[in-house]
Amino acid sequence: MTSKISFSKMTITDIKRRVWIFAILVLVLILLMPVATIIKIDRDMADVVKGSLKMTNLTAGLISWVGSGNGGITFVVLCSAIVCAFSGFGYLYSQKKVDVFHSIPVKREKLFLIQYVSGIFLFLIPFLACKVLTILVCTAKGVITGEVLYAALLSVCFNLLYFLIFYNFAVLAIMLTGKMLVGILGMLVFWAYFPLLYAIFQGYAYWYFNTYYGSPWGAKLIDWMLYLSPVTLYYGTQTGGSLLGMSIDMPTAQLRLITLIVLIIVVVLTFVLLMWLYRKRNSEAAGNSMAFAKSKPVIKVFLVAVVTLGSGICFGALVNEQSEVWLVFGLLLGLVVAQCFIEVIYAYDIRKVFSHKKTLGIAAGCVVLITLFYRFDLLRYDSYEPNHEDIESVAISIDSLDSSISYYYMEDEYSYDYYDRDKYRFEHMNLQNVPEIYEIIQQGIENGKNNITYENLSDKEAADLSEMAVCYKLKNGKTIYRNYYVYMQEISSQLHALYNQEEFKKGQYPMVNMKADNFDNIEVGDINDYYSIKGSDEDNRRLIEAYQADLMNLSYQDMEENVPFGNISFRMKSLEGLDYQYSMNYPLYKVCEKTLQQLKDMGYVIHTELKQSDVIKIQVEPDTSEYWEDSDNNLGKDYSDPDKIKEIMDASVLAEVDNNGVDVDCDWMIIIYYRNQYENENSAPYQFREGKVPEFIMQDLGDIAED
Amino acid sequence: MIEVSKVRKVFDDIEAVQNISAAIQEGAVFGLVGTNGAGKSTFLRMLAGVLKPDEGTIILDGEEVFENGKAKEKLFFIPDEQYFFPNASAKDMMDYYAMVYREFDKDKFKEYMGKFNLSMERKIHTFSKGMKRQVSVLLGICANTKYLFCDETFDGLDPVMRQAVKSIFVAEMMNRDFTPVIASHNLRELEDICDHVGLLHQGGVLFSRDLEDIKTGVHKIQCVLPDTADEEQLMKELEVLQCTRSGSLLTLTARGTKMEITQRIEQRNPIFWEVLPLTLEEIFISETEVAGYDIKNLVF
Repeated sequence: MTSKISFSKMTITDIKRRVWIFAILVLVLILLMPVATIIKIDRDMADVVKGSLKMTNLTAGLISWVGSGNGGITFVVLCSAIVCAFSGFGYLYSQKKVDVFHSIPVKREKLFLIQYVSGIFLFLIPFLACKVLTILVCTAKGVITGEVLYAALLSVCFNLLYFLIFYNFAVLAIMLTGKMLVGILGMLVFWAYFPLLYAIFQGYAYWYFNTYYGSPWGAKLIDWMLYLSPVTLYYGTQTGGSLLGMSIDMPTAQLRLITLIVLIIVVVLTFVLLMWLYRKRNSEAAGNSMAFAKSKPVIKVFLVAVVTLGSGICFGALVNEQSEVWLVFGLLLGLVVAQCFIEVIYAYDIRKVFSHKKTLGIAAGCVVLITLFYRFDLLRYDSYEPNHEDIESVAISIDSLDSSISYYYMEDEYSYDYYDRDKYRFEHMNLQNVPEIYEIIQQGIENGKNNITYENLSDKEAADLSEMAVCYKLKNGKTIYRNYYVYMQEISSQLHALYNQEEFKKGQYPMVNMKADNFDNIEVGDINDYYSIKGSDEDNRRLIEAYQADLMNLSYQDMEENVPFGNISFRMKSLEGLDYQYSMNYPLYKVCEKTLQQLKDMGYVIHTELKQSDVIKIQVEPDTSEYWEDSDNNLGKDYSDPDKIKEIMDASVLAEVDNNGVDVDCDWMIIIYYRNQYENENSAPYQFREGKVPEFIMQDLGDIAED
Repeated sequence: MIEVSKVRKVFDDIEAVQNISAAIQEGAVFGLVGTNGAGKSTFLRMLAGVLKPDEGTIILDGEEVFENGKAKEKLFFIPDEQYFFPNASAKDMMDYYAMVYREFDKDKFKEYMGKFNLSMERKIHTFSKGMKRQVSVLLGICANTKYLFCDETFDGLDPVMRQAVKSIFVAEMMNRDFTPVIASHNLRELEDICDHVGLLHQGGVLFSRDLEDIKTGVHKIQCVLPDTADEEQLMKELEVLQCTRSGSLLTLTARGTKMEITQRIEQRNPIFWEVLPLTLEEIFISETEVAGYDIKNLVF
């Protein structure tokens, strides 16, 4: 007979009881969706009429707007999930309400489902209605397209899933607690616990491991912690799935599908957990802090440990130098504060602050173990190097090499975005059987053992130091990352070998992986001028291929001996609906012979160096504090004698360009004044090569420089 | 019939109900009395299937109550603190319970509401405490369940209303299979309505008997006997629960029928004697004293 009690009737009754949520949501969503859409379309249409916006751009903007680009919806989804959860299951906090609901002849599973489903409908009905109204608005305004409809549909799916995730975690907090305040705190703990734990582990690893690279792109188990927080799960999936460990350049549809599946799995798992908890939850839990007595010590240990570890690292990082004294102080303070806070929450009695010392001891033990684990590198993290036989390939990313290169990727059909430099290099560089790379890594490991880092060295000592990230791709599918410090001079011979590797270049220079038809414009800059290259498609294609070939042939020695005299910029084709275009900027060396020849064939004369005959004078100034303190700046000296000009020019290279391996003497400032091809006076900054300062300069200005 | 067997319920480190066994017969009003904190509410909440006993069983017409819809549709629980939905009127609550209890009699509810001069449309939160009590009792009665569990339900009702509710109970019992179980700390409230009484104290059952048996089995005797030897002999022959003396007047509370007690007294040639009936209140004071409990803890 019980089954005859209508589920739908009870659900509708429950919705009616909470109709105020419905009313508020309808009002807010109408303003945020159809009304805001009308305003947006009208404003954009006005821009289209004025000519300041293309129709395609309007459509692209609209797709984003009805999709995930309306930030207000996110806020509404979050708030409505919390309100629906607490209004639907808040009765579990009141004994008199529990007495009513749990004495009626309705099974608890059914009771749970009624509350659960009505909460969803309270959000879903107004959201769907407003989404339909938004589509109708777009139709009436004549801007509806299949893509807009598709974006709207996806938005409904994703927002419903995001709602369910926040809703389930809020209900989970209610299930585990017996008081409203504790429930709200519990919900915040669900949001923040695992991201905090993640940040704390990262913090300790950065502190104690010299070779810690971070936890990039789902490569490590620790990243999965972020799936356990609705906030980071939302953020990770909403921002392109970077948290999912998925390749960012995965096709959008595939990425969306995987994201949808992940979200559905999380929703289903949390739902099953909620059902189980509801069945297990005793009615007498109402009014207690925690609904399940057995969970109290476990939750306390987890919370105290994390708060203590977090407090330790926060206090440790308060001073400039990492201080273990402050770390210990932070740990002790965090331990005491967390213990007191949690016990007061549990017992609602200030006299119970130091109750349950056993759990306090366990939490303190965990904290000590974790701290010692990092402090003494018990897993030998810093000295770890995989067996070479287990390595499929290796990729390295040295900070100071080619640091001015731009890395882009196509985010979707409407936009490009920056690629993380290390990420690009790791994904596109697969070095196999290159012994030199292990020699470099070995140097990095040794430097790590000797605590050679930027923090531990003076600026002068660290002048030749560079950070180097390494990605080991193992045969078993695992990927391991490490960060090392290397002295560039010490690895010079190995870099010579690396730059001869085609695989290295593919990771180092995105340009070599591009196709000619990716670009629609090329610009070249030399020491005198900028040229927008006007050539046929075929000429441009040849120029692009010539530069790609030059880049592949560029040796480390070329870079050590030369600095770029100019740069070449390849502008990527405009995307549909996108106003702006990205460019890939690359250096031009004298050794880029194929490029220079192709430019010459196309009628462009590129100046690879200043002609001595064009130089009017050279101003040499010692870069000393005295020089800067002298307001008249009369400590420098001008040279116009052709012999001295030649000697200075032979000993110097262009400054303020990416000089990769070229060593320069930074004690001197050189400004060369010259006449360009238009007979205008111009100037260019130069620097002496290391140890190549001419004798006559030393005689004239050496005393000041030495000061 | 409700059979309670060795039921125990512990909240944290407090044993609210300890090893209770009782049988509640059909067609009689069962009164559950006891001190504050005796475990009456906990016991009723277990009977209603709200709480799950830690140990023991509660069988209602052959069915376990907890999480059993079949058993629960035979009972209606009126807790000490009633809950009505926010902004609900009596009509809203009637509709809700009519949805939950398929035997709910809407017409009867409307009729009773009219008789009690309560508005169907007015928001319940605007009602007085007593009016809310009346609404919840009427909802419980009109649910037409076999068992009605009332926790301190008469508390807050004025004497007229209390009498009216009692009359409804009687009428319902005459018309259908109806067994109210009423928990109260107020013995006077139960005295004229209960057929059977269970006394709870500190989580346990002191006794559970028919009210008639209790009343006919305990009497108060006032007598003046010729000498102390007769007094001592009488005390030995009777099962005395309480004894006080005022001058030569001896006042005894003793178990036994009126006839048995009369015979014993007459054998001692009393100068004066009379046997008086006891109120339920006096019986319980005597019983709890015998059981070694401090009567000052009982609130009347």
